[in-house]
Amino acid sequence: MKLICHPISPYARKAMILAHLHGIDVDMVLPEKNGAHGYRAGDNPLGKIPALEWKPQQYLFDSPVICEYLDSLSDTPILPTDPHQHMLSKWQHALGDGLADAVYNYRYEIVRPKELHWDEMILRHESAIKDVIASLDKICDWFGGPWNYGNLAVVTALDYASYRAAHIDWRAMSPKLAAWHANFIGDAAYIATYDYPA
Amino acid sequence: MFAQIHKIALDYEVVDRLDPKHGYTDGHNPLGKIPALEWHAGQFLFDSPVICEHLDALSKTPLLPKDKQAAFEQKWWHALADGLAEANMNLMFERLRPENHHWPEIIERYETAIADTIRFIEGRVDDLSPDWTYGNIGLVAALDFITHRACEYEWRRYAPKLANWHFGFVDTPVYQDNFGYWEEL
Repeated sequence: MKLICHPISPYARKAMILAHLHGIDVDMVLPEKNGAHGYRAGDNPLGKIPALEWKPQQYLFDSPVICEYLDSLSDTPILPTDPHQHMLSKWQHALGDGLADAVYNYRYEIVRPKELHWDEMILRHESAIKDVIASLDKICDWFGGPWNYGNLAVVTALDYASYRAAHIDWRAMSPKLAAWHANFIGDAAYIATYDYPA
Repeated sequence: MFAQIHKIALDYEVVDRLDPKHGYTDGHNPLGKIPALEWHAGQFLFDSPVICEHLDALSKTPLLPKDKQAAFEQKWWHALADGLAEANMNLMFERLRPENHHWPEIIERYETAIADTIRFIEGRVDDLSPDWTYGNIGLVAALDFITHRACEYEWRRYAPKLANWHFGFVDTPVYQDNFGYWEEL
């Protein structure tokens, strides 16, 4: 299956880790940008990535739906079937995605032409990043490891934060979370999908 | 709308304390995002597709189909609708910036995404059921958001079939009872 995306996207990396864990063959294909239309491909009129070609010329999005779909293809899905555990996993996943969104929004504020930067907005996104990290630090004892549906989103978002918002030293701010994250660094799926320039 | 369809009693709390630094906090969630559903005492669930799924799962007659493929089709429509709503929200926030901070390139990107998506859905209207489904709830809510906020794009003009489909929901109690919130937003 084709996954249209850029390797530094934490949203795509979640899907790549899951594919790795389940032994599903997913090819990451770099998107082609079509001006104001964004990254259009097949029936993806929003031009959003990642997009998974789940049927010929039909693209599935957005990333939580892609992850859930890939997980459903496995005989041993990581999403729990117990309704409460199921929603709890999705909640943790949404929290991780929220961190990735905050980093993404921060990034999109600072790549604007300099005269169009809005300091208040930069501050808002930086606060969101720090608030989520503080809250992840408080609850990470409960996350467990190595991979579950919630951890996918949290680990990939933290790596994205290290890369795109490096001035926020989250490891110094949240030593417990840093120790939890360190458990993943030697993992095969982690290594196979880590693609940030040094 | 999920709560309405499944007759789940929810108390709505309209947030009016936007903290410029932390968003809508009130202890609801660290991201300061709304909607947030208090699913356990003091514990808030987000974001909206997760809330919808949770509410749907509480019902004995959930809207999300049991069949896996059919369920993902519905989630696909729901995600498309959410993307449409997001593009409109991003446009709204871009326009709320001080005027000298507007970025024409990004405004064009959001407007194009909205127009492309409306045209795409217009071409697929025949695939949509006339009932409240998991996907249709997202679509109706997104279309109304575009009508009422940010975008002067008159989608009904470009998508007459879609407009006709949307009109089929307007008289339903679920729609009528939820529409009032637009006045407050």
